[in-house]
Amino acid sequence: MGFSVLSDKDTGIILALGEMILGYTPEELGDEFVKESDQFLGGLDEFLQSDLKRLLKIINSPVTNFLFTGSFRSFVKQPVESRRKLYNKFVYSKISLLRTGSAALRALCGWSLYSLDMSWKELNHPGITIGREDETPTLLFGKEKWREGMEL
Amino acid sequence: MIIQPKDLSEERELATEVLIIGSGAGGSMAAYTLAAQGIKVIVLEEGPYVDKSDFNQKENELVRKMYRRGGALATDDMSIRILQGRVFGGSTTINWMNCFRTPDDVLEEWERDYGLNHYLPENMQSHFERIEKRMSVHPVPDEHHNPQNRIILDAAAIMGIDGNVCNNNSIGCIGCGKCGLGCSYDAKQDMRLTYLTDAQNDGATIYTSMKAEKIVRRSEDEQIISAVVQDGSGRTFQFKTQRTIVAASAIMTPLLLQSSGLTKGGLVGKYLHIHPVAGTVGVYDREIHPTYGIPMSASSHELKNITENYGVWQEVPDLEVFLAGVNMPGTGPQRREYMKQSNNMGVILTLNRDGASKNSSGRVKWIRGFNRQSGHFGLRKYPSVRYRIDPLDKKHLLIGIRQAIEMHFAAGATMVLPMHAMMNEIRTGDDIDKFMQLPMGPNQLNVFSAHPTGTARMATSSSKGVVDETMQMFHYPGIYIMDGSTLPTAPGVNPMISILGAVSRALELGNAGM
Ligand SMILES: Cc1cc2nc3c(=O)[nH]c(=O)nc-3n(C[C@H](O)[C@H](O)[C@H](O)COP(=O)(O)OP(=O)(O)OC[C@H]3O[C@@H](n4cnc5c(N)ncnc54)[C@H](O)[C@@H]3O)c2cc1C
Ligand code: SF4
Repeated sequence: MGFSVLSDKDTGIILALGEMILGYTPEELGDEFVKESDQFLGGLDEFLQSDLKRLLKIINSPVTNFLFTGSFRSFVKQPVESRRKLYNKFVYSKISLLRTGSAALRALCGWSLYSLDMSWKELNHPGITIGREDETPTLLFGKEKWREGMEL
Repeated sequence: MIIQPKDLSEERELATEVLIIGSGAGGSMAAYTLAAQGIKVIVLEEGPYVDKSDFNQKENELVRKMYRRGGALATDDMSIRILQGRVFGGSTTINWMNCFRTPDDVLEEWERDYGLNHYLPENMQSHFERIEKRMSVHPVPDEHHNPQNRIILDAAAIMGIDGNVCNNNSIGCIGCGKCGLGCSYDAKQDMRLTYLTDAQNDGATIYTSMKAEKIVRRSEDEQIISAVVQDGSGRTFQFKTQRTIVAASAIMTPLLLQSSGLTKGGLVGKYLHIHPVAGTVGVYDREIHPTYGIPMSASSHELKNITENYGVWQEVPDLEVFLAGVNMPGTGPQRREYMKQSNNMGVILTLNRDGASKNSSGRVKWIRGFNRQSGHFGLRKYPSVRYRIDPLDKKHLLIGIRQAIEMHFAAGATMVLPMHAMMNEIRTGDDIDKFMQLPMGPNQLNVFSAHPTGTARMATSSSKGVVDETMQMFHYPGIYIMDGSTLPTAPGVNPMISILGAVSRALELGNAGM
């Protein structure tokens, strides 16, 4: 797909994570979500990029899954609920490093969907205000009556 | 004059009287004050040049372009995300406009604990007044509070606690709620539109997308700064200067000083303070539209003095959708459902004045080898930011979070999401008590920051600080530090005006040796 940091193989892991953390199907998330993840990683310092890439490998490894859930299958091949089980082991762990991993994955997924305007429709987010100042809930929004007495 | 990479000439060695590294709050004040006296000033800014035509309100584009690490700067263990600008105008270009003067009791503490008897309230007043005038600082009119800020004002009135209208630096703000993405309306009076404009009018030259990599101090009157153009070309420039002012922020200043070997005294990078922030989300049965309206127009300081003058205060954010998306609790369909309700949510931020026990474990440092907090292993040096919330500060933060939850319910919330990995919803008083019993370690309670300070603090003795009262480095005459890193303690209010005021005062006292 022409990534700068991710490999094509990472696509499946990113989508599987997105599905589990965000509650969207891989089809709903689509290419744009994966591309945004790649761009997010591209904005990081190199040492962090490599850490996060390693984290993706670790989370997908059958060994990791076996150690934490007893199932010797890679993350992408697990059903969503089993993936969540593994993720929650990280989230609730007493080992701080595992929690760090879960925080990194949540940030990656949360950013990669919600920084894109494609996600806004479902949120009923009225969107950017430029050129639409009167329709969006700015101070100029008639409904809120904020305009009264306002000095621009 | 602004010089962007496309405007650079072939001349790779340039000379100036004063070279300023960083165009944020501190650097801009220094550029303005010195250029106004006819002194030749060059400013180097690592981030790109931006003006209102760039501010298209697209979160993914703009955060990547204007925030350090594309918005992902954090402590090593990722438990505290630190928002910072890396752009023309520094963090002021993307900040949320709240303008507080440094409280008198904090200035008095600086005198008592750090000997700063030239920074007392009576010394600072004229500086604050001038700054507020130039930046059009004014109280937000009553009819301009958005529903999110009204939560604070309504709850404060109902609960009989402190609730204030805040000042901000704007002219003709229409409340689009996108301050964090740069103001598309040129309403926010950030550094670009105020002190950097004045400095340019007085002859200062500003290089954007130009990162200072190293300072070589040949003598008090001669330093050479090497800088790399941030356009992927790898072009390097050398600037010869009589005085260097480092104003790269409390995170980047110590890193630059350390890579330049300017660390004598052992305090550079220590005592990081951040004003840790915890958010609580109220879910309302009315539309709040938290992503619109003027941010931070109301605050409550009822709990500012829990232990002496240390405690917390409450504000509401400029909520970009991505911030909600990254921080929303829960996983899977439940998380998605929460996000769908985000128009009916309002966020209260509890900000903690950290340092109550007069210490900070926070520090910024280049390290190599294994990092047990991040799991990184590297033979090459990499920047490390460590910060653990001190137990007394955590106690204050939790008292503040409890108050924020109560404020939401007082203002009519049907449910509160406390931003904790182990508990998604609070509906009753019992839930609040249960929440308070949860472990509150790193990546359990969700914490962020936008206010790093203190990593090269000012004091009258080199045993306590890195710079003296004129902000000159004790061990390296000719080199000055003028940004948030010099604040000796967390200011206990949003820090922009404190930084501008302190730099203005330091220049009045020493004029950077010019
Ligand atoms: C999202 C957000 C909201 C905020 N809201 C408020 C608010 O409402 N009220 C308030 O008072 N404060 C607020 N703040 C904080 C306030 O903006 C900062 O405290 C203040 O701008 C810090 O000033 P500074 O000079 O220390 O650094 P900055 O303003 O961060 O500027 C430092 C500049 O130095 C540049 N730089 C770094 N390294 C180099 C290098 N090697 N070479 C060249 N340039 C370099 C950086 O790119 C940056 O532009 C907010 C901050 C953020 C991020
Ligand atoms: S809220 Fe006001 S100052 Fe902030 S970006 Fe919108 S118009 Fe500009």
